[in-house]
Amino acid sequence: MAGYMPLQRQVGFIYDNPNLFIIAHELGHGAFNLRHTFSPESFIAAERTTQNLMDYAGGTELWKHQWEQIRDPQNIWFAWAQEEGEGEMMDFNMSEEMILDLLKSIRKANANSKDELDLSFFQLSKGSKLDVEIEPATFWYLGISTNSGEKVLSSSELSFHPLMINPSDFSKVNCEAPKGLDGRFMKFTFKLYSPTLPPRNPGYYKTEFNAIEITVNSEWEYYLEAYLLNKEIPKPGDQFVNMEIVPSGTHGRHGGVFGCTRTSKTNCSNYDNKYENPGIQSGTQFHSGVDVRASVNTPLRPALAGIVFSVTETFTPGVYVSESLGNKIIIRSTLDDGRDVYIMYCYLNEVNVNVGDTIKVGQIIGLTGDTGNAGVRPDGTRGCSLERLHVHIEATRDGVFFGGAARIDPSMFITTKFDRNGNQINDN
Amino acid sequence: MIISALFFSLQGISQTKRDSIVYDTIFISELSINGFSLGDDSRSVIKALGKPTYFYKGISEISEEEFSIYKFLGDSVSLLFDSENKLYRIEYFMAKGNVVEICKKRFLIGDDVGKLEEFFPNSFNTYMMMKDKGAVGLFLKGKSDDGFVIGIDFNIVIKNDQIYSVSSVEEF
Repeated sequence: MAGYMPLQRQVGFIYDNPNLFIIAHELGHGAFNLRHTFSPESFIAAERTTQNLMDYAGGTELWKHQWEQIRDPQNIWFAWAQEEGEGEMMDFNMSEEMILDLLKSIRKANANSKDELDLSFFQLSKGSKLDVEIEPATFWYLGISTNSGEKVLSSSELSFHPLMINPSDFSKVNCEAPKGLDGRFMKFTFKLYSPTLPPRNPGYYKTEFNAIEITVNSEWEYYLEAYLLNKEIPKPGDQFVNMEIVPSGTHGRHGGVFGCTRTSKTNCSNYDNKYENPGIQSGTQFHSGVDVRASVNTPLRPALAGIVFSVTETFTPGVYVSESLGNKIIIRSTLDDGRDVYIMYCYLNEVNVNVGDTIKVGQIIGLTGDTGNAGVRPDGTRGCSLERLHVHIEATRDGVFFGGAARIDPSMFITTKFDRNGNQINDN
Repeated sequence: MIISALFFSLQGISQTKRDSIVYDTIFISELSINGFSLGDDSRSVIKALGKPTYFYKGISEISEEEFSIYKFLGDSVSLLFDSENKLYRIEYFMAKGNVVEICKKRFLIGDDVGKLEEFFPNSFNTYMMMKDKGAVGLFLKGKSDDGFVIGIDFNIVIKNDQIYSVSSVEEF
């Protein structure tokens, strides 16, 4: 490859002792949107059969239609939307390497706490790849486009604007699946930063134009965010760092941390034996899980990777059902010591997995919610007030939850630890 | 301070702060609807409300205790009884014309909301303040007679400036 300057780009590169022909040829692509004379889009003659500048025979001629195109700016305004096969000696669609380079550039800028990042090299680029690996995640879809979206700069404007972004300033929204794909996708958007003009101090201001759009299957968007911001990729249990335990209910029967809850009848001092010796604590109440605060439709990620053991998804969000834990997911995980643990997540509004699915740490398995007795009663009151909405999490050794005798404290699989009163005691 | 606490106790209604929002507090034993109260057995409730239109008995997924649901007057009243058949929760009571008595203050389901302003000024003001944020009615903090249990709380739901329902809250 001797040179590389895609259509309507202000950057490109020339390899190995460039001559004036190569420079002029590449400028023809980049500055004036000229196609090869042998391009299938505007075929004139076979490759290396003319002396035209846009052929490969080394000629310097430019023909009438090319001069007209050079003089007519309208021809180049929407060049970004055209096929990108021109202008280089190989397919221009972003390679996986280029996609990763762009992501790495953003991550590196965030690692160095930079507020500005010039990505002009990637102007007017577009590409998508399947099964892109960024350890430990594999993104089954990762797509990038630059200078795209509803509002874009014209190509002539772009020549005055570097592709400048603030690497830590991006928004995330759910978006439609890319053509031909199914599933839930998330789009990360970085806005274009534009140079300030005198008399203002030199610098950049945020525009309404989209500079970079990154689309990813939403099961892994949390990984991508962590990667871009140079944060540690989640490990088992990290999903709940800084989590907030919902305090016990006003009556003290339910809620809060695993173990005894206070009632009017007793102080419930023997909670440790509750499941080993059922029946000895007449009158006591026991909370069989941990309640982690989460508003409705918060993406839920499991504490441990594993295999989906059971799902319940028959409950309608917001509809009250007495004494019910609503929609549930149970995941079986094998610990380092070879023993299994089953963890159950309750009150979900949406279940995104099926029995038998393999679940990785950080994967979104569903959305939290207000099913079961967290819902709204016919008179408009809630079984659980909005500020107390939570995911109820239980753990057991044998997979038997309701009525089982092998339940254990789920907080041992969660990085953040709490005392009996729900106070956080460490935050590793 | 002691004198002040005694005064509120004699009044039967006191006030409590939650997140800088003020509610009136009541003793849970001082609420009755058509003569029945929390803790009453199912027989006396049926006597007050007539034959149930729906009955369900099950085991709670949450507490793993047996419970029963009775519905009366169509679907306008739903009551939950515990394993000892004692009224544990008023899930909702929306039947118009029934007498509610709280701390010797009486009103009817369907009465004008103005009565509540007089009876429970703190909760009423909070309701008015929170109405735009989605509050559906007055919230009353409950406490038990022995003062040990934090209490069961109550909602009085307002619709179209009328008292629409009463329900007890026992958050899980």
